[in-house]
Amino acid sequence: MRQWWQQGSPWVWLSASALLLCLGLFMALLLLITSKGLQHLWPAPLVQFQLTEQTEPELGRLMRRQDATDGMDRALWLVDRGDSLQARDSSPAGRYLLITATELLPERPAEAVLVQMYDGRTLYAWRQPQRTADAFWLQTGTGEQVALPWEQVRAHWLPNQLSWWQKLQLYLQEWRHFLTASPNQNPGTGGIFPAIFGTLVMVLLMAVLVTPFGILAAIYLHEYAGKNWLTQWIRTSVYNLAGIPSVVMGVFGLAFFVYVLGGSLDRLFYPDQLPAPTFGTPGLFWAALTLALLTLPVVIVATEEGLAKLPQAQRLGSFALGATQAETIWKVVVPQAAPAMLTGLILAVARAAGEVAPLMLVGVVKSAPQLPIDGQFPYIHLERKFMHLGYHLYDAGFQNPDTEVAISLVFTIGLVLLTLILLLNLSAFLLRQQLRRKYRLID
Amino acid sequence: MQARHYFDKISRWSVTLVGYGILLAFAFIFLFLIWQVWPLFQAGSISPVASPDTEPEWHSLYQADTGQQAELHLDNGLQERVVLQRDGAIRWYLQQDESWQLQLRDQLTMAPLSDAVLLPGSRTLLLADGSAQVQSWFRLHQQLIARPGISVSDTPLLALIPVSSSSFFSLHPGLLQLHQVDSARLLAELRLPSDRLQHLQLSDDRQWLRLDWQSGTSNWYQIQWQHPSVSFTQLWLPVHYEGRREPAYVWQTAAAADDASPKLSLVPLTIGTLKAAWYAMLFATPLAILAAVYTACYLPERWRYRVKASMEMLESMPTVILGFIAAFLLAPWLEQQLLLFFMLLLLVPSLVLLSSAVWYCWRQQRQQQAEQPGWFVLLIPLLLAVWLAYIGTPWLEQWWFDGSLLLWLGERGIDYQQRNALIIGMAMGLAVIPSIFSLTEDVVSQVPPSLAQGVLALGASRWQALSSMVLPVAAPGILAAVLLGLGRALGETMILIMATGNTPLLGFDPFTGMRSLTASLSLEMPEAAVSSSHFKVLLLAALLLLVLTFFINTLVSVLRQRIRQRYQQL
Repeated sequence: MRQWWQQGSPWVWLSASALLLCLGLFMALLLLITSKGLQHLWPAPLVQFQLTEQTEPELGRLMRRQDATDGMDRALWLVDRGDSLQARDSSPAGRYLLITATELLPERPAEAVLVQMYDGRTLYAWRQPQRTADAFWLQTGTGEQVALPWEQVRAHWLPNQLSWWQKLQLYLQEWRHFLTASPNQNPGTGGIFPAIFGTLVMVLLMAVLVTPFGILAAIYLHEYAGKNWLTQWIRTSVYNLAGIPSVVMGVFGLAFFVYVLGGSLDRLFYPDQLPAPTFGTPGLFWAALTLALLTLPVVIVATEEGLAKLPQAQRLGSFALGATQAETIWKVVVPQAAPAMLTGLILAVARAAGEVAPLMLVGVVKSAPQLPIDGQFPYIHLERKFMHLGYHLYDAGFQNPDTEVAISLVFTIGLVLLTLILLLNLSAFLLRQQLRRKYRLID
Repeated sequence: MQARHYFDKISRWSVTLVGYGILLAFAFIFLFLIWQVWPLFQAGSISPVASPDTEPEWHSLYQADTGQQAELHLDNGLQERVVLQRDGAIRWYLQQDESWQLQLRDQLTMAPLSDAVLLPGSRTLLLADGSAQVQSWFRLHQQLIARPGISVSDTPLLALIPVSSSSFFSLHPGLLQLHQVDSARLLAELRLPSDRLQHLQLSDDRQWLRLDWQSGTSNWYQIQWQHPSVSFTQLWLPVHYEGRREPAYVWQTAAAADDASPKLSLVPLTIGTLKAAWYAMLFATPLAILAAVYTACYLPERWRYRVKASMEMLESMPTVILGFIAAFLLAPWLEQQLLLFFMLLLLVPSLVLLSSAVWYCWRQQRQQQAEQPGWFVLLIPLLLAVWLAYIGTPWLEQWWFDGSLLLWLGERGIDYQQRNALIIGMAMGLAVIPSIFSLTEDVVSQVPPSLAQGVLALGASRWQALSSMVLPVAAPGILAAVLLGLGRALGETMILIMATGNTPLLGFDPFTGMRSLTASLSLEMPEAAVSSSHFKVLLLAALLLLVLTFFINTLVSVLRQRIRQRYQQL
């Protein structure tokens, strides 16, 4: 037994299971997000249920099984009854219902239709045979027949009649709608296009701001800086800049960029609009600038890494041919290290796309009436507030009274965000891989 | 030739400028925040002015009276009235339905009363008895509660003059002092040109002071006291606020009325941040370090590369997703399966150790070297632990905890909140694991292999070589990794906003939530009025976080520098 302990076998086992646990947890997390995120838009079948003998059967969508809380051992189903015909209920209380297995009718009606309306409501009803040019005839659970004007109907399908292939087509169609449409006035419905667009515009603007500074600083650190205390200090401040909590950067952005810089800009260029602020309020430009400051070290570190990997012989060869240091750097070193810079940039973009906390302070809103880029002069509106995927996720999860929808919606948004970020990271990884191979060939 | 020369020069200058710019930018963030919070700690002042630019609305606060009444009648504007006798007998009336009801009657033991005021809009009563201490009492229901006395000048007190719900003037011969009640602090002082004050008036916005003398002349003064409710005492020490039985650390910013001063103690927020970071590190450090050491030393090269790459990718996992999962899936699950969680915590390591021993003995018997097991062998104790915990929990809960662990805890006075430190520990732990893992893996795998080979040649096992040679060499690097993780945990925001409950609480209890500095910053900053005390205190909180992470990151940077040198020497 002593030998067992001394040879370290328990530690090997513990560390191996720690690794397994870490990877397992992350794997489980990714699987959870993927599976829940993909579920949200899948066309589920509709079921029928009848609460009492006297009432008409109703249509609903099974959400999940729940165990009874009253101590009796019976299975309950949580059913989504859809929105009402009149208007969307602001409270989700009427929408969900717990039913017992006996109240659930076995057959799935073929004529059950699911109607997606333009205002974000989802109706479950029975399709009626009469079809007119301007209206869609439905029978609701209470038995009344309603004509729904076609211009209110975004999409409709018969979930119980769909083949697997049709379901897939519908699913893709719904995803397209989700990614390209704007949110509706009803929370938790509609698409997320403005959020995706806002994220991309902000991140690109940030990239434009951060690239020159990051690359020049890395060139300074690797090519020009001497080995002295000043360089040491600059390096330390790069590390520190990387370690500043993002929300502190947001606070700095709000207090300095927005209130001090923006306020001065307003006084200088837009005095006629005061006291209504133009740049003295959180907006796209300040968000991009704050994130540029936040991601500067990412670009510096990645670029410097690339510069360090470039064989010294290349520089010496250039010097030997009579080139100045500037020529060596700009014509020999930088072109060859360009993929490393691109890697840094991609990593910076990936980091920026996932940040939410600083953006809450410097310009993100839960719904922006206008996109930051449109057809009106000057086309790019730097002072506008914008929507952001990460913040949209937070908002959809926490501000929506309907938790059932919120949870599955949030997973879907999270999946989109995660895919974006992981793709960026993956491309940076592959780029770096390629670069390494190239340098190995040169060597 | 000339052009090339200039191009070289310009390139050097501009690049150097940007390089220095990084240092300047970082220093600027620091200096800007310091400059912004500086006014918080500036003393107030009352300075004479010729006369205000525009005549403000004046409020008369004090008028010299001739005789002393036997009884003092005081009013606080909240339909409450206090009648005080010179011997300390006190009656407190409330107005109810047009009539005055006696709410409280008490006899204070004190020297004969010289003056008393009831602060407007508050229930605080200030009593002066000729000493250099002004007593402060407030009414809580039907009780008078004493607060710390306020030291005033030891020259004879002529009058107490109420200013706001938390400040007052004390008038002495030739001296006027402005005091803050909550922190018992002297805000500002004014030497008076004459003793014969007839009339004291204050402007509506409390910026201007007008003194009329008995000689018929008047003087105007400007009062500067931007942040009366912020001081070191109020930020970091317990303060006895009105309406509470004892001094406490309070973070309460919602000041509905203008008069109510915000209660800005940074202690609960700092403790919240530290608590969250502590539980996250408790979860993340052992897992990340053990996993990294295993990856660096035991995994085959190909797998090592893959694991490392995927961990680096997970480092950029948006924390907003983690926070959401923690708040909406993990928290409800843990509330129902708390005992299962603890069983897993107990069973997983013990079963792993047990199976390690079994494996070792089995190998010994078959005269084989006890190597590290394959991953499928490892899965056995893990799955077994999960299965056992799953089977055993309901039984244990029934038998030991009377059916419900939460009720059992509740009976013992332990409060369980759904969003608590355990949730944060797991969610934020997951967020910091990749950073600790990456750096640890780097430093451990870069240790020169010759070190371990020497020990291995002497017949030691791989783990013995690792623990006796490799880990001590890499120790500063591992410390750097842990500190890096700590820095990240201290600055994390979204998980804390979503899964802590955001109630400012004291203490390190694992079953309660917290409110962190970062959550307060991102939730309150957009709503705080610029240049209000609240805004400045939030900036102070940001500065505090900055300083904290600055120390940690500088230490990390130094340690990394050192370990690089050490490797080069080896």
